[in-house]
Amino acid sequence: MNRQDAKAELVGHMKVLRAFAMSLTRNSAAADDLVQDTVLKAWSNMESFEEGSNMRAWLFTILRNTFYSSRRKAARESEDVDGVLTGKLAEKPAHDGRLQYADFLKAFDTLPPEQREVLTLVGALQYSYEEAAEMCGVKVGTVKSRLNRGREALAVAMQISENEPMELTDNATRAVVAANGGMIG
Amino acid sequence: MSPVDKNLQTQIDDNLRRIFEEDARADLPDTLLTLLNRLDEVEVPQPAASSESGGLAADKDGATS
Repeated sequence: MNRQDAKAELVGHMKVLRAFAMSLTRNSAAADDLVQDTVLKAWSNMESFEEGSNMRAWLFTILRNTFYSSRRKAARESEDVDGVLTGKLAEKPAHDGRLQYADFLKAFDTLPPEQREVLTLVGALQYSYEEAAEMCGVKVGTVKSRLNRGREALAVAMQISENEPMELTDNATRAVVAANGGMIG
Repeated sequence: MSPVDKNLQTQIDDNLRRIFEEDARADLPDTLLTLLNRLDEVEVPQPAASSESGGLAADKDGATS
C-alpha cells in the first residue's frame, strides 16, 4: 500500500482509535500515549498490512496488544496490583436515584479492560463475535463469556438504580466483583 | 447469573455506543496531531516481524477473561 494512501486512511481512523483506547484505559493521557505508540507501530509495520483488508481492525489489534503488553509489564513492576485492582472493584458505585448515565460510566469503569474491550467491540461497534475474537486473539467462546459477564454486571447496576433498594447495593458490588472473577464472602 | 433481558441489553448497548461516540467526537490532542503531521519523518525500518502488528491473529497476548 502506498505510504501516502496508508497515512490518509490512518488519519481517518484516528478519532475512533482514540475512542477505543479510552475504552481500555479510561484515562485521557494514557489513551493518548497508547494511540501514539499504536500509530508508530502501525506506521513502522505498514508492510504487514494487507491492502484491502480492514485497517481499523488491524489498528485495534495493534492498540489492544500494546495496551496489554504495557499492562503486563506494569503488573510485573508492582507487587500490589491485585490488591489495588480488588480495592477498585470493591468500590460501590453511587446510587442516588435512578442510575444515570454518569453512574453507568462508573459501573463501566469498574469492569476489567478485557470486558470493556468486548463490550465496546460487540456492544457499541457491532462487530461480530468472530471479528472481535480475531481482533482480541481469543476464542469466540471467550468473547461471549466476557461480553455476558460485562453485560450482567452493568445490568445489575441498572436494575438496582431503577428499583433503588439500598439494601441491594451490596449485591451490585457483588455482581461487579463476581463478574471480575473476584471472591466474595 | 442469568442472561440479560433483551430490553436491558439494548439499553446497555445504547449506553456503550454513547460512551464510544462521545469519546470519538473529542478533538485529537496536539500531541497526536503533531505526530500525524510528522509521520513522514519517522524512520521506517525494513520489514521485520512484530509480535504486536503481524496480523490480526498474530498475538494471542495472554489477556485473561
